[in-house]
Amino acid sequence: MKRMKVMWPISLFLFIYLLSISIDSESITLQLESRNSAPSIAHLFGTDWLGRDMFFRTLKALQLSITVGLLTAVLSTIISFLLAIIATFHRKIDFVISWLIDVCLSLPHLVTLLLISFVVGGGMKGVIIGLVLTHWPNLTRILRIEMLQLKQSTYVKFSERLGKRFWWRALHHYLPHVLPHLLVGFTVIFPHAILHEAAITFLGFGLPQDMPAIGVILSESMQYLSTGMWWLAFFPGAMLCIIILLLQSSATRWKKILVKDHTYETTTSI
Amino acid sequence: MLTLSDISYKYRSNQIVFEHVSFAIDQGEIVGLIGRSGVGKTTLAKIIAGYLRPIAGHLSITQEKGKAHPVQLIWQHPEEAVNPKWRIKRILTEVGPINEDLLALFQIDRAWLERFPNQLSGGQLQRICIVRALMTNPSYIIADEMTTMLDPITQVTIWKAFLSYVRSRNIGVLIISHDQALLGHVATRIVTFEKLL
Ligand SMILES: Nc1ncnc2c1ncn2[C@@H]1O[C@H](COP(=O)(O)OP(=O)(O)OP(=O)(O)O)[C@@H](O)[C@H]1O
Ligand SMILES: [Mg+2]
Repeated sequence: MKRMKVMWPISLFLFIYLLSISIDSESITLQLESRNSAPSIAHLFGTDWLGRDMFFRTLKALQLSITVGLLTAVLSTIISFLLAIIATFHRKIDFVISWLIDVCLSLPHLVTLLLISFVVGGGMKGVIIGLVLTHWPNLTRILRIEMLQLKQSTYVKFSERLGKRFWWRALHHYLPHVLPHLLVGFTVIFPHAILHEAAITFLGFGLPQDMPAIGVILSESMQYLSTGMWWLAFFPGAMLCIIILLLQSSATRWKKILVKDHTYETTTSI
Repeated sequence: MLTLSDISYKYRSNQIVFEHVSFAIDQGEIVGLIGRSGVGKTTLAKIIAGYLRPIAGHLSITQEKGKAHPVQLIWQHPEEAVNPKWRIKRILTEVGPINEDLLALFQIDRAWLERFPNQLSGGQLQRICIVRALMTNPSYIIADEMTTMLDPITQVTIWKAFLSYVRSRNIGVLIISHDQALLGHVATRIVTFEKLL
């Protein structure tokens, strides 16, 4: 029963994602005869000024958003783990990393993202690099504290006295210890990255205009809103919100399960 | 021979705990170390076993890179010395292949190997920690209040098994304890910490 409650947002999310992947972009053809039509049975989300079906365009754009979000979340999580573990090397390295975290956290997210994305040459690559570089600090800060504590623990020190190498300890003691934090961090970064990507793309600094992105669709629709074609903005925007909400609700549900320490549950089963 | 010469230590930014401590333990010797509480016995034990670096002085035995430290410390609180998220089997195999003879000697039930540390009693977990330390094939063992929190019967069983093993292997032992009776019984010589200063 509890599992079910956890599973439904992520299942719905996966369903939307798989649906979006299954759509062939070739099928989004120009149909000039049915252009500018309001939502109907034939076109659930209406069509645009070139007669393209907005339902398919929106789903395709979501696929791109989710892929960018996923990539960013994976990379940011890996970077956070590596930076946090490197911080345990030496007090001076820790000082530098802590300073970097503070600096990055004090900068406004969107502005830094714009700048980085611009500096590395924009486009898909620019957006992802920008997103990754702005999304690592929060998680790194949490991981760093956890790992410094772990470093002081008797059993990790014992492992050192056994002659275990640093990376062995990182893999066998540190990684399992912070795994719940990594997973929670991942699920928090994921929707964040999607929103930020859509935001800078909408502003024209993100993904290029010829890519099927929610930000692109939304910024195009601005020109047509005044002519009453509300569906061009409404459905893509609503779908983006739904995806974000689904991800966030599964993140909070996951957090409850993951952060709980399971070693205490098996007491009676043995 | 494990020799300490002129060892001094202070905790960061604190005052000095002790200065110029020198003494030696030979292979096969069982030395008792006594001293009032807070004098620095545990601190010295950690220095000898490589957990702390002395601010001055020299140790004749140190850890080689990639190898287990020849001096193994057995802690008073075993639950701090093991990864709480690992099963006992994993805790032991971190050292190497499980030594069945040691399990038998310390009367360790094979069923415990599948449990987590918090599913064992203090005495059971301490036996695991002793076996783990012995599995590293140490030349010296420091037992810092090893059985202080256990009941007398468990204490006797543990010490019997422990002493028979270290004697057969000619392992040098430093026993830190407030239990004069125990030390009088097992130690070949008793050192008072205050006299080392
Ligand atoms: N982590 C620490 N930071 C600062 N001071 C410490 C720390 N650990 C111990 N001390 C201090 O160092 C001194 C020696 O402590 P230690 O634990 O070595 O004493 P001990 O001889 O083992 O005492 P006991 O017989 O009670 O176990 C004490 O005064 C203690 O307060
Ligand atoms: Mg002590």
